[in-house]
Amino acid sequence: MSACNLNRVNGDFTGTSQINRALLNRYGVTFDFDYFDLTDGDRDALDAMESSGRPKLAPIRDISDKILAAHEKIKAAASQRDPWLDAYIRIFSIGLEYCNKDKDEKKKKIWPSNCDGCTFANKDLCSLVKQSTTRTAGALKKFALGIDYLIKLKYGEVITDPFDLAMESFKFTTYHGNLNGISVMSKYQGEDQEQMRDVITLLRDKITPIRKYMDGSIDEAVNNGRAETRFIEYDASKSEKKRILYSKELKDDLEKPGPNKKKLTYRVIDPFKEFEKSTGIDMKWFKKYVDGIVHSKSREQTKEGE
Amino acid sequence: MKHRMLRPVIKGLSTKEEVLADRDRILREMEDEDKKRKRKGEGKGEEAEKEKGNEPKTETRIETLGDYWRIEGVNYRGKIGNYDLSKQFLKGTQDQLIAHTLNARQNNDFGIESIAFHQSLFTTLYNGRNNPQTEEIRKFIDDEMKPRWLLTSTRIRYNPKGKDLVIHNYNMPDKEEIPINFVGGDEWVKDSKTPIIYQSLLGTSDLKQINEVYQWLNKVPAYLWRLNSKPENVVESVAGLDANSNGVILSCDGGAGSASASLGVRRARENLGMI
Repeated sequence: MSACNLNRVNGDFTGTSQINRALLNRYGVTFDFDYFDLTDGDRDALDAMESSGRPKLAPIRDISDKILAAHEKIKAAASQRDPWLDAYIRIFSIGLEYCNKDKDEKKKKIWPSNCDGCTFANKDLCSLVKQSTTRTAGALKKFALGIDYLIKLKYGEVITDPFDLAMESFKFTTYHGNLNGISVMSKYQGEDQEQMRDVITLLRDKITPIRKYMDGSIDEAVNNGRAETRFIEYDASKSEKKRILYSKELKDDLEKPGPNKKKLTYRVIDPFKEFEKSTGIDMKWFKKYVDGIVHSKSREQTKEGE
Repeated sequence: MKHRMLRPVIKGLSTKEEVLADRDRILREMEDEDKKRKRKGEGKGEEAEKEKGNEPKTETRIETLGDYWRIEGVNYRGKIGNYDLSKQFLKGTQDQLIAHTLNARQNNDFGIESIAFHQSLFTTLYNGRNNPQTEEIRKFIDDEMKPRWLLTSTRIRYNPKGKDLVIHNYNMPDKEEIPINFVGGDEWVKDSKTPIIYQSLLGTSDLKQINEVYQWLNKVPAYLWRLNSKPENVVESVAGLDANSNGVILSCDGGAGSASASLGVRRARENLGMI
């Protein structure tokens, strides 16, 4: 385990040497102290302290064995399949690779130098951030599970939304080369944390509408071993549309006419294709991802049977 | 030790029980509506009207001539004309296809056409849908629209201030520019409150007919994509068509750099003297 400190904003400080970018890129988690500040609560606590002129230190304890044990637990958990968390992280690693302008629909080396001239209508997000590398995706998962570990340590067996964990983790792991460097200088005056805040808000806004479909598909794959990414949408009233995961059985039920020989009007929709065009987030991987869950579930069942 | 996976609380989807209860309720409501209508004596008239409206028109003539179809009676820009539709799609970006078309027209070869022309062509085919060759053409177009965008020669210029511009046959001698406030929310065509948008884009503001044509062509209703708010700088988008299981997208927010396919069309040779 190692850590490095880097003062990027005051680049003219002497006595420090630059860190090689490749080395820097191997540090999976970034803590930005730009906005670290004393809160009123901190000040109250300091004022209430005995003013001896010297800090009052807590007794020194060696908890390294506990830290290492926790780390092992988190590492072991990260090596196992976590269908929902893995899917959200895959949005960060593959979904954000999408470029509407590129002929292969991938962000390549030139990103983001040509984004200003890009005419893709929904480029607000894809021009701001690019995908995390495989290495970073690994760190994302460990960090998310680490946050969950700390929450459980402090509050007991509470359930935290894996999407919130993924988003929080993304915020700490996606700085080096992932944010639009041109925009960070021109629009954010070098304050990449502000840019990250906008990225997180945009990501949340854009992913939230597709989440129900992702969650529903994954749930069906995990619980019933069925891979399906289509949905049935119908008008429950003039102002309300409802959706349910597609199944042939349900479709047949809906095809049955009522006493007046009329049928419910419904549509079979593929929400993921439209999502890609309207958000600039690639979701072509999702169908195979759900297939993968079903296959591994069936392999597990076969093993158990043996 | 096996890690317990992190599960979200799934929101926003119905259960099967809810769907079936909704179905029974909606069908009951439909039945009540029917009864009410019959009591008012509207039922019979409406049925007759529906039958009348669904009667396919048969004026459209289609011939297969080698590697293209000849479609007669296309009403485009107020003139009835005959057109040839190639059995090969053209491939490229809009700019490349327009450049190709400028040459092609001189050699009476196939080129790209505006989205308004597409609407005229599809409506003509729809009116002649009893012709067996029409189904062949319908399938040909539908099969291409599902995997990829069908590019047209129309561009929408979204201006930061003032009216936007619908430009048919962009950069071509017969270019047509229509100033209009085009920015707005994406919408199902049938539910639109601004039919004038479709007049500028498709040459018709008959929303019911537009929707019927796509319901026939791709078996799904039509939906419009466009810029939802005024851009900071001028944005030019290519108008294209795309079909999926949910709807046909009249896409007016696509980037001009994207390569895809387009229908290859030319005026039928006999008509060249009339242009």
